[in-house]
Amino acid sequence: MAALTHLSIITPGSVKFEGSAEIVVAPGAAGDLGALANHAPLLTTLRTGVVRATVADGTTRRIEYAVDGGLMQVLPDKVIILTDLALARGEVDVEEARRDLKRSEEALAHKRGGDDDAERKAVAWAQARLDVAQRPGV
Amino acid sequence: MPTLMQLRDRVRSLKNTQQITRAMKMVAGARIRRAELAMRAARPYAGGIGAMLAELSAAGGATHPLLQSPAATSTGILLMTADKGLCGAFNSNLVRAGSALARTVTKAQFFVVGVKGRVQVRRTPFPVVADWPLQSKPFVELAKDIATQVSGEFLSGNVSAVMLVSSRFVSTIVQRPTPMQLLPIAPTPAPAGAGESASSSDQASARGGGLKNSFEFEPDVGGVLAALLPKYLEFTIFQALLETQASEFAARLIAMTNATDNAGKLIDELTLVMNKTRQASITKEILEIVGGAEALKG
Repeated sequence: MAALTHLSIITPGSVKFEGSAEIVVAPGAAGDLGALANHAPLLTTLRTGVVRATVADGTTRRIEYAVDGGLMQVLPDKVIILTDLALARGEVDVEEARRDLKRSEEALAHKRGGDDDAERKAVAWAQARLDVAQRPGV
Repeated sequence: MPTLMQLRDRVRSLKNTQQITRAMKMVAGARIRRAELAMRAARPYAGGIGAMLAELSAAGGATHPLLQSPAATSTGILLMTADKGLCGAFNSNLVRAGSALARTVTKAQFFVVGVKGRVQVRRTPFPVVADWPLQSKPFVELAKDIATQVSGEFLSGNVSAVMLVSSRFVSTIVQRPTPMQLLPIAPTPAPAGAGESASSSDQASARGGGLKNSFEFEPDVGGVLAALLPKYLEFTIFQALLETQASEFAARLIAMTNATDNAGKLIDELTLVMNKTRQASITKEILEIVGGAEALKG
């Protein structure tokens, strides 16, 4: 069995996930990046997107969290993800995410200029939530 | 000497008061538990973000506007208080700590959280730039609003430093108004209070020495700093809000416990007086009857 790293996904209000993982894949600032055990020390910002990990706490399974930006610290034996919001599959309100996505996409399509950055972020966040909620059979 | 009727009214009204204070005591007791849990839940994040900031400042080389003090103009004081009273000297102590600090700095300006604090600070000679009620919205959002306003004032040069005066929750019995520097951000090696949580507490210490300078940063040190510092500010405010609220409940618990006890003591005393008065009037009536009967016999 491969060496394990310790993954923590932490929001200001709670620890969303904590446990051993074989690999963690996160949307880093410079593209998605995977972290195995013994990764070189790294500190990166995260884009809004989906964090995936294969965790091994007794049984091997995959987990996914939609994260709304944040920071990730990778050390040889642990990965720490700090984010304002992290939602697992069961926590996503699919209807709300769809509505948000539709509204933001329309806003982007109709008015150029304006507050495009905020809308683009909202699109990404809605997309991330839907990705987590709707991926079949993880 | 009050009459029997007056005493009875007095005792009845005291019992009502005691019921109210007892209810408030119980509510505070229940909410303090929840507030303490929320405080504890925030600790892993504190440990994580503190460690990252320490790592970044160890790497050096990068600067950010939130780290540097602009030309000294005036000092902002972010004062956190409760919305409601009936919690002993809790609010007054905080306001006193805030205005004591205000007198030692040049041109103090206040940012006030909590209705009670706003009312009291208005009576001091210092201007209030902005204020928020404590219980208006979830703390995460409130912290975001406060951080935006405060860092805006700082970056535009209206204030050259921001001090935070909030209540430190030492225990249910002790809450201490504590000042700390909020802006410019001064990185601390290891944040206090992160030690207890088993999860992410040890990363700051475990990775000492050789690895310190071998960190890679994506996109770069400056980019990470720019993302981290506003979050750090927001989170520091968020944590102070949690702690101030827990302190408020603790102060109210104690104040209301005292009030309930005092009411009980008063009720006991007055009941005794009331019984004595009643007994005295009965004795007097018996004496009159006996006296009258004796007179008729004679």
